[in-house]
Amino acid sequence: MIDLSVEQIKEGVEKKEFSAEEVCKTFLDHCQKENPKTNALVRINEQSIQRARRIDEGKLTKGSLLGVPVIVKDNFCIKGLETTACSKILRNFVSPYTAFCIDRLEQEGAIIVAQSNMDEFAMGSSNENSAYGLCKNPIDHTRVPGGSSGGSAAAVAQKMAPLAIGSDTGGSIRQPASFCGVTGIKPTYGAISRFGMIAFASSLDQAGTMARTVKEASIGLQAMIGKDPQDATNVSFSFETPDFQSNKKYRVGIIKEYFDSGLQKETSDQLNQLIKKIEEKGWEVVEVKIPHTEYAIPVYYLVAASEASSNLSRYDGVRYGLRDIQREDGQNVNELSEFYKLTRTRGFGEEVKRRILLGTFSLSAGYYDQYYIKACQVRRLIAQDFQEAFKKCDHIIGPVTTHTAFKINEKCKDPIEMYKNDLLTVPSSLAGLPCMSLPLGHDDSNLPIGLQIISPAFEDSKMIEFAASVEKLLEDQ
Amino acid sequence: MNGNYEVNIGLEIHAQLTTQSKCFSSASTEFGKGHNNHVTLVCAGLPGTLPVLNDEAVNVAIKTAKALNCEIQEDSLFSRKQYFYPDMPKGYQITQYDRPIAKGGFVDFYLEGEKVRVPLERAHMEEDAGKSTHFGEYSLINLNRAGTPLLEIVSKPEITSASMAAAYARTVRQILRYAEVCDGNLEEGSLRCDCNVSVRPKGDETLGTKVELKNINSFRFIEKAIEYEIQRQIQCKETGEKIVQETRLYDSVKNKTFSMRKKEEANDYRYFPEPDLMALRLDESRIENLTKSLPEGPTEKMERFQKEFGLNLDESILLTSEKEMAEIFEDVNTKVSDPKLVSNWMASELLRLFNEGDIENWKDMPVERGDFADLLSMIQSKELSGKMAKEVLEEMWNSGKKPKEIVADRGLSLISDESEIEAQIDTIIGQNKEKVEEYKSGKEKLFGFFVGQVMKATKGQASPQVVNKILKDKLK
Amino acid sequence: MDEKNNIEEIADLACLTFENGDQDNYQKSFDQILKFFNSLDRVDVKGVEPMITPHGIYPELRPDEVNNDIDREDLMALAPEVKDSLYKVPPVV
Repeated sequence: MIDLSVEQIKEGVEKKEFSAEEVCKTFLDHCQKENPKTNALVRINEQSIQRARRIDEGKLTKGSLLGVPVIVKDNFCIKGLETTACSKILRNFVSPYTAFCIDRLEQEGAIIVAQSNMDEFAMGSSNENSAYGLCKNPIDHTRVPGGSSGGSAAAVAQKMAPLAIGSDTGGSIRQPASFCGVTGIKPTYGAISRFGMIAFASSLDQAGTMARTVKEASIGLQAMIGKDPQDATNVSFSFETPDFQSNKKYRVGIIKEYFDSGLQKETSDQLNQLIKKIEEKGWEVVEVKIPHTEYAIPVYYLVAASEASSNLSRYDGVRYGLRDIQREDGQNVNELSEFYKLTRTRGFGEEVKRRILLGTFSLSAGYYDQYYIKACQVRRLIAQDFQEAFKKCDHIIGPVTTHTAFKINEKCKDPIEMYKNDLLTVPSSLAGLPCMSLPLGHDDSNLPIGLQIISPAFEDSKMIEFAASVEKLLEDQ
Repeated sequence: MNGNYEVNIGLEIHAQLTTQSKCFSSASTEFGKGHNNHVTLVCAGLPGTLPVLNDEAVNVAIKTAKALNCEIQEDSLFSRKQYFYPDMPKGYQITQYDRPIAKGGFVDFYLEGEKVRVPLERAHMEEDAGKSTHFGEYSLINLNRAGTPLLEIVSKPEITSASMAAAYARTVRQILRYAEVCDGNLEEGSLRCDCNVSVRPKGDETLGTKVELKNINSFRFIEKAIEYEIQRQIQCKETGEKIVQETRLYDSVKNKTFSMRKKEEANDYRYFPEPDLMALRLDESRIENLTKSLPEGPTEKMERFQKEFGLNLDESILLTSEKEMAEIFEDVNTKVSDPKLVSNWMASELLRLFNEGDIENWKDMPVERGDFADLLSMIQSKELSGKMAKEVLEEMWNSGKKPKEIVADRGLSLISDESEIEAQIDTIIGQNKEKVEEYKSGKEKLFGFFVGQVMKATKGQASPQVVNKILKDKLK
Repeated sequence: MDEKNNIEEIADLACLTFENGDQDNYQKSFDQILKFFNSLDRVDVKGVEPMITPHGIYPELRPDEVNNDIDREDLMALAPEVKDSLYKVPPVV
């Protein structure tokens, strides 16, 4: 049963070939069995069985995800469940409300079976910055699953659920999807309401889906898209159900700078093979340029850290979450500024604090124009690069990362090395474009290689159609 | 004041805008009775929550700014002002920084009989903080007020005296109340005023170091605090003591200002554009419609009263001090058509009753406007004397009864008024000098003639006893 | 862009402090990262409007309606310390 697809489960439950409870139980058991291998999950939601029973009782009879088990990254608030963004500072925070997009999934009949591990507040590319301990790559336990949605990617790869929800700020869905050999979609910025998704960087954060196939990820995405009056940045746009059998011809863009970025040999080889296939198929391949690619990392880290430094100010030990005010001498702090400092210093992990410091600096008097504003200006140049590129092509393909999954502890001592890992995922994030990752192949160590697709803003549905065609092309190999 | 110095005062007035719900959340803005009972997920800054701007708050902000003659900006932007304080749940305040909703503007008013103008720098929208109450061992935080929409009205530092500052602040309050955009209650904090005061030697090009006076909760204290601060700063200048840029508080008991922040360095608020909100764009028709919906302002009304009704400056200032009072005047005058009469009665008797009574707003006046007009008409038609009308008005105020009713109940009428009858008798005596002589020489039958004449003149409504008594006196 | 930036002052602004002598570590990585970011110096951004959010779209505003989405008791239950339904914090000096 764990091999069933999203649609198969939905149809089976709908036609009562099996009960939602049966499905739920199977996946809960599988989660229990599989999780110790990787630590992909931080909480298994045993209560979900009740929800499944309600479907069986006929309380809900329709829905694109009827009875489908879903795993949700730990930065989406779910009413009645602990939601921590894998930070100590939110330990024991039981959310009193459910994120808009998660509510949409539940309305379509989804069963939230577990919450997945992640880098604290989604800050990281390896899932090594989690208050719940690191998550291992299910393909090679000595390697990272990628991040920040490492737990969601690993969980899908381990078939703990056919669908998982992640969030992508600078590559946090695409990169772990690529490292774990699954498909991940980050829609256009603004497509899915951010209400209830714990903020990292407001102008970049987007929820998205991860699954084994393009179609399954698309079904989940479609359920989450919808106008939410609680998020002013949520854009009203029509997401038409993609035609997964489409036979359209495409002009496919190849970003020169991405191929020149020092790719692992297997990655460039396999990309070149795909390009050959595309040409054979009669699609047009055009080289496009994103000249400001090399600046994307500083721009991204400045913008994201600046926004994060502000978004994380609310964690102060006053209204919810951790309050840790015992001094080293055992006495409690009795002064406000020290009260804040102790709680925040002890509640946040190292990388989160590093980024808060970076962002605070970049917004501070005397540096604001030089860092934050400058980054926002270059951000526009990067967005303009993409606008130019899309005059010449319909969709862009390229690598997700220069290399496949790296070793645990390999990069965590050197923040810059870690940041550089996001080189190929951040440019499209900065431009707010829809982009995704799907399995391209494997390297010589049998580690998954991902293929990135980037499309024009609000052409999410077309991107998915194109991805489905590419997926078929790769299967025919 | 020492004539060698020039004073520059700029006021920052924070006005709570009247809306049902808060600026960025759907919590009620009602002045909360219970603790933390107007707090939503957004107000409490829960993880994952986002601000969404209240449409009506924008409308009210536009109206306020237009009432202050500001230029509304087509595009404006919200920013985050960042600092840690427990009554600021997100760790930042959403405010407008470099692109406010309104720029420029001015406020005109009369100061000691002269018209003066205070130019404005800008007006910007922001959210209010919650309320902290301090106890020795701890502080308690109530978030009911957190997120209430505010408009901060920033004047140019071109106010030159404490009395001008207080008059300016009073006028702003009056304008806001006229436009019904803020209830202007200083004590409850729906209007708050920060005063930036600096002095410089006459002729200096640059402004002196400014000192901010915060949290002053009455116009009288604004004047006194600024007055004190001016003297303090001049004293500093004279003795060569350095004036520190700082925030000071006013102690109304000691009539002194004292330093609030010890740190000399200014806070680094790390303003940056609020990425959760994006820019605000206003189309012209919206601004136009809101401008059209604005009622006449107090200064315009006051000037019109002088022109249209021939009232003097003091009379029109008094009558327009509250919008409802001006409305009463105009309503009543439409029926009575005697502006002087209405103005006099409002400025004396009605105002006295208002001040002595326990109502706070003219709209709660217990006397119907139509009844007040009827009363004045009875004076015009000489049905009531001024003295009697005062009595009647007082009862109208206390009982809410109609003037005719009171007159009937009390048997009050002009004719029972001895002085009025006496006047009538004097006229009749004057017109019949011969008959008076005849009567006085013994023709006592003529007394009946005189009674008849008085009754005729008073349409038979005069009290015979009164007539008899006065006539006898007069004919002695 | 290469002046020494005192991590302690920045931490103070961010309401953070350093424990277990980790300040030097932060200072070191902070300086390295800033140096790395200085590559932006090479980009000419004259006249470029900063991009704050991805789409130049004006948001819809919210109707002025009151809607309470959480009971006070539930809200207070989340807080570490409460007195009389008020959040309790150390004294503000």
